Amino acid sequence: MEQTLNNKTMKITVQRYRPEQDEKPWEQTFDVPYHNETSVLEALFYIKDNFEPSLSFRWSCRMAVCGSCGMMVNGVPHLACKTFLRDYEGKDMKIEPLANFPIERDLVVDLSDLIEKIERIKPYIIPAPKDKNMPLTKSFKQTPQQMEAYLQFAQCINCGCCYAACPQYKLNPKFIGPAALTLLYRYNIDNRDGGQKLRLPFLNAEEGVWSCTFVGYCSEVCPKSVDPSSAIQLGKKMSATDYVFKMIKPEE
Amino acid sequence: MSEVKSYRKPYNPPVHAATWWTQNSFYKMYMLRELTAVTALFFVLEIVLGLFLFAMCKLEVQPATAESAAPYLWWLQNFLGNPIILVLNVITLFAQLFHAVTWFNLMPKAVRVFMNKNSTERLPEYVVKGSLYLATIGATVVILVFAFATI
Amino acid sequence: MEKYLADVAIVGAGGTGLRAAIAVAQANPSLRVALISKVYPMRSHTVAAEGGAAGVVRDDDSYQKHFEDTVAGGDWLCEQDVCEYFVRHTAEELYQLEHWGCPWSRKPDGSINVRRFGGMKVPRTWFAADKSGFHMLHTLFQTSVQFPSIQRFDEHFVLDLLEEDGVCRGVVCYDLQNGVFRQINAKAVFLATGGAGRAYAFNTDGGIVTGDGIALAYRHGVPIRDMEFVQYHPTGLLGCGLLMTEGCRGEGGVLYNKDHYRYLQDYGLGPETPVGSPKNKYMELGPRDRLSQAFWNESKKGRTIKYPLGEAVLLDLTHLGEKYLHERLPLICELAETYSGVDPVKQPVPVRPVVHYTMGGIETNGRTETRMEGLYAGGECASVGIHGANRLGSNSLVETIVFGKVAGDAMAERAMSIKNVYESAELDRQAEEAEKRALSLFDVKGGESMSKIRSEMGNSMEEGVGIYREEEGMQKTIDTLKALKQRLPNVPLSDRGRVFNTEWMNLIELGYTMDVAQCMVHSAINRKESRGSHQRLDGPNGAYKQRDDVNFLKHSLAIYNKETGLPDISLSDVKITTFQPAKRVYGAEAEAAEAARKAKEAK
Repeated sequence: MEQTLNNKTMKITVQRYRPEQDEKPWEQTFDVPYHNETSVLEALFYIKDNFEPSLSFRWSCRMAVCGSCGMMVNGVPHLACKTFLRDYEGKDMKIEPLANFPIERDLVVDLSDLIEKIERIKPYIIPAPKDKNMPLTKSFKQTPQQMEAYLQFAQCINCGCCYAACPQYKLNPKFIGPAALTLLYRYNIDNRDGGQKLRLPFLNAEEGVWSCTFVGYCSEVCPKSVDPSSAIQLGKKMSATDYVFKMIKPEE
Repeated sequence: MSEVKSYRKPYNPPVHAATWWTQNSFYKMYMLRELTAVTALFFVLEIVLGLFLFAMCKLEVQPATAESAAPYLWWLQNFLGNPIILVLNVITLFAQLFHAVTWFNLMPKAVRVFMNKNSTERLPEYVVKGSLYLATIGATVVILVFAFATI
Repeated sequence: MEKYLADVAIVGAGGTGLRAAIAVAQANPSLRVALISKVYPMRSHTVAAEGGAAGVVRDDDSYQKHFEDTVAGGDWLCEQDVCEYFVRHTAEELYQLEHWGCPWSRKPDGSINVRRFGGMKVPRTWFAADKSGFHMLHTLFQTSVQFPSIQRFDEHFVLDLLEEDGVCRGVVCYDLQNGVFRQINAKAVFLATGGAGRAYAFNTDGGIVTGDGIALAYRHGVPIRDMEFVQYHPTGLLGCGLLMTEGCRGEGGVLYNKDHYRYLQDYGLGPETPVGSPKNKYMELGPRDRLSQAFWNESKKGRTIKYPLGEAVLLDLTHLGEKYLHERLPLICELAETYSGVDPVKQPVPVRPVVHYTMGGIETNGRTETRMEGLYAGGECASVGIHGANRLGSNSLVETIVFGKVAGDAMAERAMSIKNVYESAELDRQAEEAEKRALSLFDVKGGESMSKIRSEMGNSMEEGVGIYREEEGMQKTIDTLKALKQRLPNVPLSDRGRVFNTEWMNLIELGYTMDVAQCMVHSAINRKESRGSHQRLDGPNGAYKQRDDVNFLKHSLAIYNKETGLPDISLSDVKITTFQPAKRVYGAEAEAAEAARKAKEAK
């Protein structure tokens, strides 16, 4: 790669925070050479290899599917591996950890709240009683349309960008939030699932879909075009329908 | 799990509850959309005032005279005719149009309908948005026709 | 040090580790499972697998056919009894994932669809568009959260195995977030840490694919098998090396050289099949080793295309049309466009071979047991014996779940047969020693650079043990690695912190990778023949260019020698049950051979 570096460089400011030394975050600026294919992640590699080996950030796949490298680039949540310096040509760049999460160290945030919420909403098929003992020699029937109904919502890589974009989550950390609610809705509309009733309490709860005011920024920043705000609006419809049904036919 | 010792000291950035929306233009547009609710409130109060003053008129006098309908006429001429109120009403009109347009742009997210029983293609966004615009235009025409027909 | 007493400790939470954890939890909910991973489970590199997973479901398919494709594809270096078990259990595991919610692509009637893949006689690759690994991993992770007996240790980096009386009794790991060490004792320890593609400079792998588990077992004297067999995937994106799935060719993509000529017909894969009607085991649907070797030869003939980022051939998908491509290969379209600036709908994509998979690994039997009691291994870090000298695409994704399940069941059985928990002063001592060793890295005052050592290793591996190999080049790599390994203890750490000290972790990882790299090249230089992905150009009168069943129808074993610090290489027998070695042929030649065999059987 080295030989294809032309003479372009960019001023990149990275937010640093070392919990054992620093009281609060501070900034460090580097001149990073780049070419047309240089991603923000590769710029961070360059900084770590050449200037500042102690800079910490998460990364793995380099192909926008593992979800490790979500961070703020000029104030907007992005995957570092899918964001390119060429798109910021002529400007400076500022890299900060994902907003709305506690900062653990440099660009590493504490994602445990997101993970806990994903776990909470029962993100797995809960088979209907009749399907409980389906033998391992056959599959459920699921037409392409039935799959299409949820497939977009199953593309989430858990990078956390949508939580960094969500002002409701910022103001009320109890909000279950875009990714987890999307996952909830994804399982609720999967025709193989029979566990809707068990997930509805999370959907209906105050910290469920009704905490969303449809800002829509989550869908804007989602690197996988999952469109969480769509799932949440559809979830509101599901929640409202459930409310009406319960009024008409209260359960004992 | 019990922690024996931890070197953690996570930093929680302060939350600016009042100014968060100034961070980017997407949030500002959202706040602008939310702000249109204020103009909607103004309009509702304006109508309520009108209705109230209408109710204060001496409705038993038939046909109505300038005196019997004085409160309503005041609302119609002095209040609605006031240049400040006029400007506020124009602002309200544009605010509501802005709200309608941005809302209609978001609506396809809340409507997911497949083209037919077997298709994996969804109803295109322009159909959802288009029908909303058509409904708006239709409702406006009906109201206008009704309003002018009663004159 | 904090201690956790588990029944089963699983290192690695990718496809294999998660499947094993679920199997243990289902076998007996009272068994405590410690699921340890240096990343969150859904970051594991299973997530990047694209094409799909093989499982026999079609009426025109059979276990026998899958078995033969696998063994012949592996150039007869497969454990045939294990392969027999494997092919019989693929479909049920794939159905199991379907029941758990995996969105396998469907036919219009709602049943499972399969696609063609290289080296497979019949289309039998289950796929979830071109994100099969992603969907499998997330399905497994999400399914796993319903089992309270699975205690996850996310972002915990394993430093050593705990071993007493020759029995593996736990691991010691480092909690990256809290900055503390943890000792986890267990009745069974499962290594499912993935491959070691990062030993090479140009690879499809994620940064975490550093061979940790292989090195851990190796350092404890467990034999590492068949490490010379490193798979080059024929179609990686130029520059970054990201994978363009074999599914591209399965769906009908074709490869051209600079003369717009489908060069594969010159390498025993022809005759040319018409564009748009791919034929199994012909042309682009040949096995990966053959296709990568063909590229190397084209390059020697000067028939590749030269770009600023290197040489490439063209992968053409344009004839498939936008709708089909976006339905079947959405990720490919996204990756090519993002990382190469090429829209596959409109333009062919420049591709070249790139290191992709470690066929070898920790030697295990068909029950995933290693030679060390209590230690199990599965997935890419293991050599259970189904890949031989060359893995067929879509066999490894299904391997993760088939042998993850096998391991889970075996470990549950073992854990239930042992009444008392393992606790001893010796284990505590070992854990503390591992902690001291790790902390001592902070005291180093040398002048070496970790990134330099890493890139020198990667380049040396590409040069010495690439697609084609020669004694001289391999010896050079052996020498280079030896020198690098001596420089490694002189890398100072500039990061003095304990929380998320990635510099420190990367240094330990580099040590792991270096050990694995040594296993690879030492095994390679010892194999004086050409087989599968191990192709040599040397020997007296070029003798090593041929397969040599007399001397080398054997596995290589790399066993750590404490004195020299290097692997000793020995050979072990290959289990052959029913399928006798024959010439490995593809294209028209394969059809002729098949016909001859049938005629012979008819007589």
